[in-house]
Amino acid sequence: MEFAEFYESTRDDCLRIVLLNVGDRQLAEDLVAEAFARAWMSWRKVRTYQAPTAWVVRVALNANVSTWRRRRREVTLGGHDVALPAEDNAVLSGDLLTALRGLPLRQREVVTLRLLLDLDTQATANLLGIAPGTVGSHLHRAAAALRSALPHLADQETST
Amino acid sequence: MNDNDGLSAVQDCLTAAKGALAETHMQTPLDAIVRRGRAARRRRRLMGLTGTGAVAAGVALAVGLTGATGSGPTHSAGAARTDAFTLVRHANGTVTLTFIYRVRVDPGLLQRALARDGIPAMVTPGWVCGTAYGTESQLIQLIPTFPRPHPVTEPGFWLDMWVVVPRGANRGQAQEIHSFSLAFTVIGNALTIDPSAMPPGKELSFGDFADARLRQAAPPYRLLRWTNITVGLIDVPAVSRPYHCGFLPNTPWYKTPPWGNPGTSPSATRAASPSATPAASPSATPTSSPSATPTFSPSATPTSSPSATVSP
Repeated sequence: MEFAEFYESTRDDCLRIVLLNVGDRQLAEDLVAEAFARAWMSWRKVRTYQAPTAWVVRVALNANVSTWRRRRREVTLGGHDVALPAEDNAVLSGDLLTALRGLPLRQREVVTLRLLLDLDTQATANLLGIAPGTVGSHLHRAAAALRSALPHLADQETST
Repeated sequence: MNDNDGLSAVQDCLTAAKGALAETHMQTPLDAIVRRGRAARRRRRLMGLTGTGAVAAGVALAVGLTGATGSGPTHSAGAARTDAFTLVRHANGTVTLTFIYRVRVDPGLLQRALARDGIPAMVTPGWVCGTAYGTESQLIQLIPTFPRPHPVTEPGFWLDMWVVVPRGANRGQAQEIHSFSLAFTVIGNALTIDPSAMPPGKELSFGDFADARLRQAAPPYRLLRWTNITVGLIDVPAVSRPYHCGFLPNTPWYKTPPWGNPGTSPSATRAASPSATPAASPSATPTSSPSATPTFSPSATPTSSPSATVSP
């Protein structure tokens, strides 16, 4: 597959998944663009991956962490650099966003790859460089945390 | 209920949330991604040369510090050197501007040096400028470029990059922001500018905040010895159209700037020619201190301050 074809067919999906994780439309677009730029730089290698889309999403999420680490060293300049509200942010559930963003990065990565990108356990483990059993434990801890943070999930389960 | 039930409920919830974003589309075009990738590749190659470059920069710095006593830049064959910055033009047309840590930039010298290398810029001490958008009530807003919010390059050096747009403009300016980021490569305290990537009709506004911040800082902040250069992308104005200049709003050190309005004053004018040079070097006057500019006010006339007045 050529990079252009890959980009056109996956960019919206990647953006939505990253947006779910970061909750800011402009930041998500920046992060996904950065991740795709890195994919373009290493396309010969990335194209051979089992799930290049998952690779892009993971790079975008890690770039977000790098941004926060960098920001911790900075002096706050007040409110002038606050992101402007975007329409897309409004459709996101505040509870879900808060719960997702409250997960440790590794758990959030596992949830994203397994549940949103529908990767199987082995592929997720390969991408993250961890054991399949570790993927399972991260996933169940994350699911438990999300269920406790989102009571309506627990209600759904009891009703089924 | 078992674990699979729990997982499927979580998965359904996430899938529904993703489905609610069905109308959300990536706006960045493919060619912008490719340009970004190329820029990153260039940065990576330059990083490989950093070791060699650092030695060269050290030699240049040593020569500059021993030879310069705050005088004008030596500028020949596409190179300028002062005690506060060096400017080198490369064969590919790009220009590398390297700031020396904790040495105050002479705005007039920097502006002239940039103009010689074809980079239209307005350099002011302690404030960033934007062209006036209508009335004073239409405050400018500053949109940070990616990576947000400020690319801290190295300890002791802090470079902000902004796009200055009218208040009320939205993220539709993203393409402009992206074009801005393409014109720059930042490594350490060196800023490489590609003049050909500058958006048409735009110029740069450089501000140097280090001195003012240190002077105003409370004792704990005195430990933060930043060199803080702020770069804004602004419209090239029509001849004699005023600029609005100001310290960044709501900074911990400038809750209440001397002129009361952190967004837009003082005003300044200059000709549209990018090669314009300052009539009076701002560093030659004590006006870099906010307390020394009592005449600034939002309604100040364009020529209210020598340091803010630039003529061809």
